[in-house]
Amino acid sequence: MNAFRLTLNWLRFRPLTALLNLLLMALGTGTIALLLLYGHQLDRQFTRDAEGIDLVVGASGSPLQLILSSVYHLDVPTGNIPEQAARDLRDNRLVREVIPLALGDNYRGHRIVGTEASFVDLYGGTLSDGRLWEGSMEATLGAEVAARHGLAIGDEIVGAHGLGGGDGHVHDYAPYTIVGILAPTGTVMDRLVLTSVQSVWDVHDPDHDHGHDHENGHQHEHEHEHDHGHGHGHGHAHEGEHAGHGHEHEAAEDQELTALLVRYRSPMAAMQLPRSINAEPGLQAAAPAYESARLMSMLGVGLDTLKAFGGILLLAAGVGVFIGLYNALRERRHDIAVIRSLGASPRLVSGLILLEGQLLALVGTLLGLAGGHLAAELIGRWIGADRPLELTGLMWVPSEGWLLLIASGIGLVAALLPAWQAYRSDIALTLSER
Amino acid sequence: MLQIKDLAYRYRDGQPLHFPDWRAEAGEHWWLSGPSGTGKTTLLHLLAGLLSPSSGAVRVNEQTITDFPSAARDRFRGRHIGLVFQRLHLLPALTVAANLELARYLAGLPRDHARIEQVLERLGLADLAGRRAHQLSQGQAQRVAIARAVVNRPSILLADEPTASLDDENARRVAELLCEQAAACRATLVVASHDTRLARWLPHRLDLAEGRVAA
Repeated sequence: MNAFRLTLNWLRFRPLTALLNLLLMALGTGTIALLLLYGHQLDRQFTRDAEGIDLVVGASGSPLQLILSSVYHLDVPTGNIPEQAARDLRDNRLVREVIPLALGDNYRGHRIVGTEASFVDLYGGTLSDGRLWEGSMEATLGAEVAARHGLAIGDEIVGAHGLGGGDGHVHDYAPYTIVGILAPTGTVMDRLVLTSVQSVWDVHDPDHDHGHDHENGHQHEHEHEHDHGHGHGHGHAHEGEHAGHGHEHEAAEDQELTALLVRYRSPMAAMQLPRSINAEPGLQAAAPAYESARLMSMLGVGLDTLKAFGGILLLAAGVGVFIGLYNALRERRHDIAVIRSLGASPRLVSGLILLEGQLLALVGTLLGLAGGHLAAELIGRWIGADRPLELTGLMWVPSEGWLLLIASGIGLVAALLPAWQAYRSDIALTLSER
Repeated sequence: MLQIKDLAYRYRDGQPLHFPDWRAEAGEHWWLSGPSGTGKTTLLHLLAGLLSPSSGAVRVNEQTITDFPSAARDRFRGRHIGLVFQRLHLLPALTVAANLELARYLAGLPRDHARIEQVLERLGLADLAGRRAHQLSQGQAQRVAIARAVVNRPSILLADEPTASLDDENARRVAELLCEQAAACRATLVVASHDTRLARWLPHRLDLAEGRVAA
């Protein structure tokens, strides 16, 4: 027998009250843990996807939309920019690297991105099979695309207009041949189909004009008339020389890109480059770091509201523990008196009450953490197939450690008054009760 | 050995109680008698160190426990004084054996399953060791309360109205058990009671109504 066993026996003697207290504590901490996991992974994913990209250049419009469409591949692009902009930036001494992006089509919900090999390097990608695209109409798949659709080297896929689902016009006249599959990187690249810019242009070449309807629900604007208007939507340049991986780029004047991912050569670029780009008509420059932070702060309001709700649950749990201990103390006043008569000091008796509060709080919190992680994992698996955010419960967020401390504090505060009453209890009077 | 000298206790409402000087030797069995309100239970609590006197001293085994700091008095009580209450006061969340283990733990004594088994055996409780206190009959609970009081081999065994509301047969059993167990520990037994049936087993008597040691 010891203090711990005695406390456990007390808890087991009133299982329903103990269970209710544990449940309340678990609900509060579980809710907060789930939100911490969600917020942390959202933030981490946003940070990871934007890592190494100093600036994104695209058509005028919302900078956040530009970042969402070009870095996270979530929103529709703001429009097109002339390919000349890429050439100008590459010639700029402040710029170390420019990675072009040509968007417009998707393969069963996965965006087909016309780009260069440097895009793969940006995300630290390595090949798990085959090679990177080289010739026109060759594609290299992100790991998740290949895995989900069971694609292999040599298979052919066809893109469809639009950036979301596959309900747009299908380019069955221009299939892509899969030449490589990338290893998982844990970034947005896993969900993309990568090809050359030239391939994207080729698919939308006027020679391939089939008179299709572009109203596919994705604000798709297929500019076969070589219109360089930079309206809201996206388009493709349709003529020009090859701009793909390993090829010299000799673009014609009217070719277009969707966006450019820019890496600075020096920090000075951050001061000068965005300003000069924004001064050009039809162009805008957006910093992923800034826009991501802005987005997280907007999302953060919602997350904070939910966290506050979790906090209220936690406080309710604290009140529950207090009421439970207070009532238990009244029921156990004879137990307390007997324990004192058997030699326990007032300090030990109040320590037993504090220990009980701590046990309820910590076990409830551990159950809540386990429940929060389980819920995160289940939600992650449930939404995993359809959403860009990867949510897992199989990770530990450092701030969860604070939850244990906070819960311990709540358990302590909830037990303080009952412990004080136990400390001051008049044992002689209680033992004399007939 | 148990001794009180110039002992007085004042309740919060100001009512003072004065107790006669008295000494009980090791192994003696005493009956603390007197009608209600004469301070039998109060004296028992003073002897156990559960109450602090307003004046005077309580000496147990030549040690003045009224001079002890509170924590030391608690420890001393756990180790040297066994208590049996009228309402038994077993811990219902614990088994019979665990109630006895608790007494050893709170007295700061090491685990001793052999001693617990021995006491339970002696009191005819061996088969009930794993039963919870609230599953016991009144008679069984009474025996467990006595077992818990003697498990630490106390030098003083105090009992407060242990036979109240018991019929003659059960009162006899309880009185005999108390005497047997006190004798087994060579403890001074002091029973506070207004039950005159106890006179048969308790040869020494301190009558608080008359303030003197009775023959």
